[in-house]
Amino acid sequence: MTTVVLFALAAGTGAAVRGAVVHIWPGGHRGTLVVNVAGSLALGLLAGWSGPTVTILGSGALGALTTFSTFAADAADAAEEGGLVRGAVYVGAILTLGMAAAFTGIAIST
Amino acid sequence: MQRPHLLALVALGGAIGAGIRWAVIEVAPSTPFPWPVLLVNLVGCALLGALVGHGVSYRARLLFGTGLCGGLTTFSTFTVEVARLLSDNRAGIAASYLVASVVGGLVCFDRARGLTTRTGPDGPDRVAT
Repeated sequence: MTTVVLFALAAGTGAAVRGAVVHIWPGGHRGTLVVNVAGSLALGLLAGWSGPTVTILGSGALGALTTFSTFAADAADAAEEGGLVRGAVYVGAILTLGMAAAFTGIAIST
Repeated sequence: MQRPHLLALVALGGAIGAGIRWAVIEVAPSTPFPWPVLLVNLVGCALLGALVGHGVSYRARLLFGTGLCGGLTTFSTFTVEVARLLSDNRAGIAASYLVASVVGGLVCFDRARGLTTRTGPDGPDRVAT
């Protein structure tokens, strides 16, 4: 039961931080990129951990801090505003940075 | 957006969305291919597409879009999962998971938005959440 409450609090906090960053950052898209890359790095750092801590911090806080749906929406926006090339560049950039961040986090933690 | 009650809407939606994601991952059988995360990510993209296409109020967008869809879907689990599959020499699964997530997410968002977009003078508000 404690885990469920802490999970909800962690997830709510992660989502609120994302909401603040995405809506304060000019343009929004950069904010989504920043939280997604930072969250990938942080989850990579948790790679060596296990148990409720990973559920609460990893799946809860970092899972809610990062978002796949807004990433898809931003990519569609980028393609519609700047053409398919710009959309592809946005997708490529966020995937490259996100994967590099995840690998870096895992390498540090293990 | 700095107003606390608007952030509370995002937090509430995020907690519910993340809770659903957790439940799906818990009940799903463990397989080499990360189906549960792919499923919640694709469903979340479609749901956000429907919200954007249909057009909802700013508060509803914060609660259901930024909050629920954002909490239901996850980018960090996706990237770390791909990294782990690659480290485990499962490049085939990693590549198919990556392509299914990115292409599937974009298609789900775009199709759902297209299907729910109203045409005419009361047309869509295409501001993404």
